[in-house]
Amino acid sequence: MKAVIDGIIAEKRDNPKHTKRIESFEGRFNIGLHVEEDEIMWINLIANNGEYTVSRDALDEYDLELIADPEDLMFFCNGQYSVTHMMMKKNRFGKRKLRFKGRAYGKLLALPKILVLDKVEH
Amino acid sequence: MVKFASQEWAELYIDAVNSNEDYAKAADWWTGDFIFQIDPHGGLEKQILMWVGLHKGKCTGCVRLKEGETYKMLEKGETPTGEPFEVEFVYAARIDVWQQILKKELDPIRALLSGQAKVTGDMPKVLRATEAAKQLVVSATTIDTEFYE
Repeated sequence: MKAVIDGIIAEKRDNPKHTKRIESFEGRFNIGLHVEEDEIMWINLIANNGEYTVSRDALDEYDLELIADPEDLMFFCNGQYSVTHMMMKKNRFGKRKLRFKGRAYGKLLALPKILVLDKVEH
Repeated sequence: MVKFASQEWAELYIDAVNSNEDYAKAADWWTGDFIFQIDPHGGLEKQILMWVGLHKGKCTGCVRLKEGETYKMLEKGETPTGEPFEVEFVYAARIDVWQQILKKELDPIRALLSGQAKVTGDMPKVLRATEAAKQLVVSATTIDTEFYE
């Protein structure tokens, strides 16, 4: 997932349309990768001063905690699954595809603009 | 049965991809050749590298690199010079992971996300081609393949 997130942010950074948002967006996110029925692997994303770092493990202090099957997360990142789809549909474990904890709704709403690839006309 | 990643298998793979209409549709915009890197484990003693040429929904060639032959990884936006084995992407995994993928026991994207396989190259471009990636695997599953048990 680190490569996925790093790749998307690098592409956004190269696009002048996104530069301001990428530079100004800040937040600390725990991302739980729901890999097995009873197993969640934690990574974290910190956005600070235009720098984005993805590391292993969960942060003690965070703005938002997201949990999703990595494959669903990837389809969210490539634009195949919308936010609504992620919030409403169930994953292969019978849970909602995207679950979150925390009250930073502004950051939650802004996150797709950071983590979802732009549509490209082929 | 044909040994996986042998030159004979590579030639069958070209036909398999080119007769897969779902691949042609999913990858009609795709340009960018791959190296499939098969890392040793169990019955496979040495790494195998296979060049796969992919252009707009077609497989333009598939060659098992000979010992000592190397490939060149193109930078994002770099134009190929026409030398052999210039690629935009490397998909690397151990032979047992390849085996699971080709037996449809493991999804190639799931392998990637779980760290069992690794892609080197422009990740956003790969992310936009997940269906094409799946169809490349589907194509491979049509070949009666012998593995390195």
